[in-house]
Amino acid sequence: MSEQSIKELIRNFLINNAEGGRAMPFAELIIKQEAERQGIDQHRLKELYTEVSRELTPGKATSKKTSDPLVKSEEERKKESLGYKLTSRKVIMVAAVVLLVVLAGVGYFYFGAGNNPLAQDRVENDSSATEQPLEDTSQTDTVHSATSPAAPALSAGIAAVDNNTNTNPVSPQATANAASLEQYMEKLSDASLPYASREEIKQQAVTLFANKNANVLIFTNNHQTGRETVDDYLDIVQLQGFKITIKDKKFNNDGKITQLSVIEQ
Amino acid sequence: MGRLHSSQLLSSKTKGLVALWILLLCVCMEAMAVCEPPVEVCAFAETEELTADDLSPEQLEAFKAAAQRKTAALNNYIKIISNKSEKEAIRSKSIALALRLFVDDKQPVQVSSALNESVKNITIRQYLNNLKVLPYRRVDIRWFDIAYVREFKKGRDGKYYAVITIFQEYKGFSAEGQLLYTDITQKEIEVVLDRLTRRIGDTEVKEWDVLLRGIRVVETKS
Repeated sequence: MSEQSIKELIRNFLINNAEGGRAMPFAELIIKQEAERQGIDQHRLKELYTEVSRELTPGKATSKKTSDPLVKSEEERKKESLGYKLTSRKVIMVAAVVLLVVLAGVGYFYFGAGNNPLAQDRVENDSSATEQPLEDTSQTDTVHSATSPAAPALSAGIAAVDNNTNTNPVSPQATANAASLEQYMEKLSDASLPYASREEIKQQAVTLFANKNANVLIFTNNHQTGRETVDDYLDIVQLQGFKITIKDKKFNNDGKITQLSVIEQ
Repeated sequence: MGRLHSSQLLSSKTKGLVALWILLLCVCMEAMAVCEPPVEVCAFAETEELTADDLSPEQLEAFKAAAQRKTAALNNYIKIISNKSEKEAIRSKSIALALRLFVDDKQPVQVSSALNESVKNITIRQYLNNLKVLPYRRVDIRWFDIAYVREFKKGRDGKYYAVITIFQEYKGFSAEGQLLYTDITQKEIEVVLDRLTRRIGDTEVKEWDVLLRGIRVVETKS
């Protein structure tokens, strides 16, 4: 029993010390005196310290003294204390995460799509390229030819060329590319040409585009009825067996075609 | 000894702090990833959709014409595929392009013969592959009188369905140019007009598109 009371003192001391409680400057001295009074020598006192420390170590105390109501109450205190600390940590962590997510969101909207003119431009281009409203072609060819400057005569026999590029300023490179494209399309759909030479023409035609994934919008009766990549569409033009008419082109700053609209009748 | 115990608890505190910092680091990295310029695909995916649930008569007319054009294109691909003097590369490419006209490569196709009046069901892929190995030196397959037998009607699933009829003239020749087999078959091709989400290159779009479905034999005459 006497050892038990010493252990209790040691336990209180250690717990208070570990939890950062109020300083107990004379606690060790009191424990030492109490131990001497109860006839416990220094060696045994050290052992008691060790025992109590082990009991307080997480994972061990629970299994060791579950039957002791005193020890149990100490463990509960400890658990409560740790639980409180964990809860505090969780709150801090959640707050930090929320703060960072908010900052990231603000950063994204500000730098990613908000005030960044490049990003804005990209979004606008994307939306124009993604969905051509079905009524998009309200401007008919007749309207185009009435409003846009006459396209230079490119080659005889080429299907009606609507070189309307009102959405982009037409650079000399773009004009040259447009002219070449008309000729390439004409040759690609010419079934009398050998396939090998049409393949070569296709490879040359692709170079007029910004990339192989540039979109080709297919129109029928002034309504968009299909969409393909230029890489696929040039294959289709070669093999589907009928001619197409170029309706519209969009260029990038390098004069490369970024989007092509064609009419299939 | 008390210090020893405190240091043990301190180490668990340290572990907690380290875990917290790792978590914060991860969140920061995630945030940096979010702040990177969005891939074009994402931007496109968020753009507006075609708003009308119902297509206008003019739009339906446009898609009717598009379906007829696709049917004519299919006939042209079939001609190329069945042409044994054509290069393998162009025949294979024609198969690939022909398959793209259909909802998928498992759409059923009925094939018939005037010799035994049997009708067999195969997939469109099998049908197109079979065209490459027909038992004739030369084959002429011509479709004519491509017309609608049923106009587009909206189904309960929101898609529009129509049926196109075609007449197919089939001629098989020997190496000497002798006509070995001929028949004329009336076929019906089901057409579906659906608003599909597709990836075209780097672009993901949701647009109306008209595709071919099964082909069935109505009648075969020699």
